[in-house]
Amino acid sequence: MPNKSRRISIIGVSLVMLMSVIFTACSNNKGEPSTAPSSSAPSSSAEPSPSSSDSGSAAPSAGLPSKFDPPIQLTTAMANYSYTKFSDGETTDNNVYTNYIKDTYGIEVKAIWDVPFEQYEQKVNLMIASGEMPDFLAVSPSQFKQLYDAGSIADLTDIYEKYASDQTREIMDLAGAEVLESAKMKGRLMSIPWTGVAKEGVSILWIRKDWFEKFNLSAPQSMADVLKIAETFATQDPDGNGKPDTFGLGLYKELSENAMVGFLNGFHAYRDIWIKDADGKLVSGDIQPEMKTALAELQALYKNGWIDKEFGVKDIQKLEESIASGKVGMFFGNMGSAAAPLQQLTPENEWLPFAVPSVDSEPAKLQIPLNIFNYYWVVNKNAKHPEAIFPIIQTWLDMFYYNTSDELYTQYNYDSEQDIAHWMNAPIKIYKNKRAENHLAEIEVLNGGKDKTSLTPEQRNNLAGMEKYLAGDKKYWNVYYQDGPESSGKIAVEYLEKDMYQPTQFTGTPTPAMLQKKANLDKIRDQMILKVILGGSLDEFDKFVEQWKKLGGDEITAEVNEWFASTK
Amino acid sequence: MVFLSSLGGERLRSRFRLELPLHMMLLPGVIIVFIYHYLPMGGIIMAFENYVPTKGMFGSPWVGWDNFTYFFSLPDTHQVIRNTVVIAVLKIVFGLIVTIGMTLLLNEISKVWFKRSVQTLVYIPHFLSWIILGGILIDMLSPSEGIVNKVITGLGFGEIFFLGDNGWFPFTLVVSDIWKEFGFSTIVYLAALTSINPALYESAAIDGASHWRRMLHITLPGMLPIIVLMVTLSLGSVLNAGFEQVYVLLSPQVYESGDIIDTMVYRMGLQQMQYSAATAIGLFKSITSFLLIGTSYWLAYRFANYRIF
Amino acid sequence: MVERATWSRKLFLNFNYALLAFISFLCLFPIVQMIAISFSSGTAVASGRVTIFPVEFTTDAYRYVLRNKAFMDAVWVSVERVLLGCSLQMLLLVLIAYPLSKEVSAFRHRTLYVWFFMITILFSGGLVPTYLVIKNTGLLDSIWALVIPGAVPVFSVVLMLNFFRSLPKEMGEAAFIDGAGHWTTLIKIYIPLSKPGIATLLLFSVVGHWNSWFDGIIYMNSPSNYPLQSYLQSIVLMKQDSSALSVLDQSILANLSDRTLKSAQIGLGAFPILLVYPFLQKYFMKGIVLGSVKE
Repeated sequence: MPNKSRRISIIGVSLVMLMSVIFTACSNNKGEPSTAPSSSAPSSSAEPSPSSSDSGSAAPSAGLPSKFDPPIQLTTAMANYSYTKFSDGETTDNNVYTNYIKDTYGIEVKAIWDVPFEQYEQKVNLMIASGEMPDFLAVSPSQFKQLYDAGSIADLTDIYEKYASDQTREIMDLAGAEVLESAKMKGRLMSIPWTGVAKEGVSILWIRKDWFEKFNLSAPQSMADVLKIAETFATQDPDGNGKPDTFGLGLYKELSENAMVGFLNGFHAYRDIWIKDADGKLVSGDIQPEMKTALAELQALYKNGWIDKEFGVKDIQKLEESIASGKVGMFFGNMGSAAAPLQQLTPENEWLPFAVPSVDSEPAKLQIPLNIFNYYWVVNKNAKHPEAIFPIIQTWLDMFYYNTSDELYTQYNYDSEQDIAHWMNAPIKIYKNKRAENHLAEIEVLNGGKDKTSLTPEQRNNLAGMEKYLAGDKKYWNVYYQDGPESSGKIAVEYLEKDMYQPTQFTGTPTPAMLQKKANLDKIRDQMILKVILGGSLDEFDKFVEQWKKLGGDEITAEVNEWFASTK
Repeated sequence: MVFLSSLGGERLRSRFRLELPLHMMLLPGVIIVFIYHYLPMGGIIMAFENYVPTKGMFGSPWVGWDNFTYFFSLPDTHQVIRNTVVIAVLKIVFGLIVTIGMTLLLNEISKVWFKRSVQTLVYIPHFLSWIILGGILIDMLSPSEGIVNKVITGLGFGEIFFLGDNGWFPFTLVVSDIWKEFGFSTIVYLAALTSINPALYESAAIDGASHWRRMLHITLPGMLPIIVLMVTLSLGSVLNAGFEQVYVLLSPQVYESGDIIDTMVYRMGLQQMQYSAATAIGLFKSITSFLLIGTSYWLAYRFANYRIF
Repeated sequence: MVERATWSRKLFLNFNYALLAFISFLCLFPIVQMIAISFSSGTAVASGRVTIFPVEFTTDAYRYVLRNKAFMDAVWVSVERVLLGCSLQMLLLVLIAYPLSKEVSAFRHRTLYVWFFMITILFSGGLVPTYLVIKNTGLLDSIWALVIPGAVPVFSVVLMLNFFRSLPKEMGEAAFIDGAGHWTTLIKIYIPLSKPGIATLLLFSVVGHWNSWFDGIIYMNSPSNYPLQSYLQSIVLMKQDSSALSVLDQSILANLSDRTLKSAQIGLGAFPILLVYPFLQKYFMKGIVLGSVKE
């Protein structure tokens, strides 16, 4: 099995990969696979030694096509955040990434346009409408379906088999089997999913440390504890100003965000996803009785004045103001809440992360959508070298995830001195979880088990922060509680190990009835949620369920189950 | 007969010669408008098909009136249309009253520096986006801490949840919209005032007419053509209640009174880019506007022999 | 002419001054707060402590913005757009409004033309076909895509023709009898007499071009060609999809969405346009028309 041994040696390259291995249950690699990687990996002047690959030979990593000579040209479309991403003289078509890809793989990437993410889907539609299509680009699920129906995109099944690197496959596996599955049409792989980090985007309960200590609290073991803490924070004057001006739990008007969803998940209630019922049929989480229970608790919180009476009209900015001004000491956030916004809001106050507890003995499951970052990468059917996308993907992985050199980090990822986010220029990106990995790798070094050089620059940076925190520089608390021994990173590991997820069971493109009726069903759901919390009768929920079914919910459920049956 | 008709031809020709420069003046504008506005109107057919970008405007399946029946069959359409019309009409009516009132008050100011400063200051909010103003409004109107409610409770009334109460929400939208826009709208009327002949004021003053009467009999009539024009044009927005503002301030709590056509279309769009449904709804709005403006144009012409534009 | 103010007139005037001063204050508040925020520290802003005075005064945001090349580039694109766009609009504006201001007796087809233009503010083909036309006429990714499609400001045309109509008719007729053609009449008589109207509509034109953002994002292929408001929009509206990003990326974005920075950029973006008004204001003062019309 040459393939397998090759895989083992690649895995050995970095500890990051070690973690992937653990999670993909290749436990036989746990030992001490290989030496630390050479931190002098690829230099920008680019000898074609792209990946931080094992042998140090010039050969591209597993399966990648060899360098194109003469160079080929590929067009694409870019979506970006509005942030400085070029150094002087660079452009979309001439930057560290395009140059690296050209020098290393003989591929020139040209972007026909570049647009902020908010307008990306719109702009792709306009482009498609005008009959234009670059060689490869990211498209939304419905655009993917349309392009497939129109026969405009290339079948990637065979070239994926032949050319995708092991690291790329690894990331697809980690994202969840259903993700790659969702990129297939009639059994053929028609796109590469832009994998996301849904499993690390789930809720974490954050509690202010000084309040936590003031009342001698212990880690919440159940939702009942959470409610109890909420009561304490709202009624026991945690800020000691003698006024009842604090709230028990932070909420704001976006019901789809963790602040609300985390709470619901603690009660096994799931908003806006499809779950399997006892008979193995798919049902909407919105109409399950658990939702009613969770809402009843929120209603009680509201009635007692333990949550902000005005949360229903406040946006996140207002919640952040409440946190910053010391009125809120507990909320459901995400694994990165300490870095942003808490570090900016309360630089002096530390916050503790906790796993979302459950209402009963059954552990809570955190809902996750289909684990893609909104898009699929598709290749134009007329592209001469569809396989060229794999070296481009590999470049991203090498530079963004697996690089251990500080110099390359500054050059290709983020230049903190000049504040340039070079990584945004990568023509193809796919994401992977890294909080759990970072945590484990950093902890291992922190405990003296490993050498610093095995870490990626980001991990080293975090490690340095933790060391400063432990040395008494408290302003690094955010790093400590995201990566340290009792951090959200540790919870990320726990979530993964115990598989505490409730993924949506519907991963197809929107059904006809969804397109027509879901917007309205969502509206009446959110109206009902607010009505109940604000003190309406709990019968509102039952009324809603009835209405939901009548106004298209049943129809959608039937379609969803039809789809479900077709995937078996 | 021959003589007469050739004379007519002569007159026509000379008239054409006379009007030719007028046509020439219009020509560049007509060409640009034709290319960039009339050609794209072909896209209105999307309202009658199930538009799919990959199939193109002329290759997408034809669905007839389906998009319209779909829109009108949605359970909340009627409520949403009612909300839209109520909010839009209140904005038009009260906006007009406040703007004209402001113009008249400004017109009574004789200190030039004061007049100029006021004009400049009231014009500022127009340039701030609703995203910014929204945050400020949430603060100002908060029942527990907002300054407005402090005043209200100070006067002995109960606090009002302006943004969270279905009874108050449309009112809040109307007032805050007027606050943002009245200064800018005043500009047109102030310009209209400049065309009033001051000799009229002078002779009225000599006749001993009071300031009040001068305003009533000279200023207002002088503004009348512009007022009529602005009212007519604003009829075109009876189904536009102001997307950006409502979008920023809306929450599920006040869907009942604050959800408007545009926010509904926006939420539908989130499911997928529903170009066809959006085009159909847009066409419905256009036709309504056209009928309202056309009718008022025709009525003014028919009964007052006045062409509004 | 001296008039003796009555008691009630005095009362009214005092009341009027007070009321207008109060109203002005209400309108001033948001911008004062925005400026205060732009000069305050991020933490002070985040905790909602800034009302009308800066808290923990700092000019960091401005220094950042003025160093930021993207911002300054966008300013220049906007300036270019305003210069080109407004010249073109004003030219077409008077050219169109003049014929349309004629009575049917003087220009038989006027009503047809009026509705030809009016229809375009009522009906629109929507984004997709407009995009296709702009693409096929080769304007895509050039400043002309922001200038030419909207070159005829129909709303302003309708206002302008009303301003033209309010000019004393005798003047135009007199000129005509003196042998002047339509072109001469328009240039020598109508335009000079309509300065307040033109100033108003020029203001609308400048404001319109300065504030548009959507067309910039849709028709330009690269953010480096965005006009200022498109650039600001892409920052202000930026969603923080924090779940997908690393610790580091998150703090980058948090940095960007910093309200201090946003306020500074929005403030700087609005500043030039706020200056335009006082400048044009002198044309709104009374009596300009009179000077030449007085019999």
